[in-house]
Amino acid sequence: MRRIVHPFNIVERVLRDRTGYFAEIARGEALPHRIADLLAVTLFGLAVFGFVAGLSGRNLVQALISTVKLPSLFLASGIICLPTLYYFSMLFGSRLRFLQTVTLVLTAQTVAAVLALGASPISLLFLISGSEPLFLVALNTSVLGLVAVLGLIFLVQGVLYVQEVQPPDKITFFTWTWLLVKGTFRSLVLMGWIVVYGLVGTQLSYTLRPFFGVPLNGHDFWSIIGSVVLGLSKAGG
Amino acid sequence: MENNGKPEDVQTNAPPVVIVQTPMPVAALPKPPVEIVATWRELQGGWRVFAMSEWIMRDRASFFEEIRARHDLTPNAQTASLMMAAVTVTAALALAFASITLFFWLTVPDYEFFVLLNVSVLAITAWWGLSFLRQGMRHVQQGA
Repeated sequence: MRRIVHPFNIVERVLRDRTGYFAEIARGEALPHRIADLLAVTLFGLAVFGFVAGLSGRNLVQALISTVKLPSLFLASGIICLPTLYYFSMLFGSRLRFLQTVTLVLTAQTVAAVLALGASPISLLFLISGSEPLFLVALNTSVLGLVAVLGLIFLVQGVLYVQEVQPPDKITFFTWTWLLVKGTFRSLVLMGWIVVYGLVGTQLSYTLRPFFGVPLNGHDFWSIIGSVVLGLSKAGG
Repeated sequence: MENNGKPEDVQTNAPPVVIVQTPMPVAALPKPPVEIVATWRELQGGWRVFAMSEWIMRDRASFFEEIRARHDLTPNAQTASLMMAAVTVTAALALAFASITLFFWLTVPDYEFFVLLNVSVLAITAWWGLSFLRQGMRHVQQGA
């Protein structure tokens, strides 16, 4: 049990003492272990939320497919956009190393995953209480959008902190704003990267549709796979 | 300690042990100086290309300074080095965009969008490559 819960320690660390956590990343402490923990939490959190959200279509097969699709969506978006962030940050004088960049991107996704995991009982409650499917789709989509934005705030703060030569001890909202303004071109590149990341994420979610609420009878690749799985399960049952 | 019945002369006939005290050296012998080389020079194989591009982009000031200070390079060779460095920067940035371009190629069937995306990517990467060349030229020509 302790082994299962162990990766969640890093979530406490990130959410309670983010400057201390960013300082450890800046020093490059145990980055491979952190990456493994962050990956585990991301997969678990998004899989649970994907399952709960997938149930909104009243279809167990769709829920199981969403359990795989939602973590894949986040991780694939991160992998696709990672080289751009790394090389452009490097060009504009950032001190970020490759593993540090990976850790920060995964931190953003872990924060999003944990917040989505926290919202899962709410989504499940509305599902059990018999809410309209359209309302459930709107609720789950809003939750995903909100947690993705909150995760990206952590990414921006992490990048700003790690690339500081002498980061301040105490950081307030105004300090973050000052760090963002002081970064000039680096901050602009980071903001531009977030726009690209958002575009890739939305395009990938459009490609992997439907996630929840819509029956698996579309004509896109993933729906066809889902329909095949559904047909096989019916034939087997 | 017990003798276990051994005669005493066995021990007395044993060869004497002579301990020779060697004088300690006054100071350690000077080691030959170790040449400290940059990380990218130590790497071998194909990865060296990426390490080189990383060095050029991370610490461009030292790269420009090395080109400027190398007296064995003719001005033409200096110019060629800077131009190749600019092409390297352009290529590295284009490589960074490769995953995004590939993703949109796989998921968006619109050909015109794909052309627009590629032209934009190449424009951005070429702009920063040429900007790198301009900075390098300025640095090398300082005081010339």
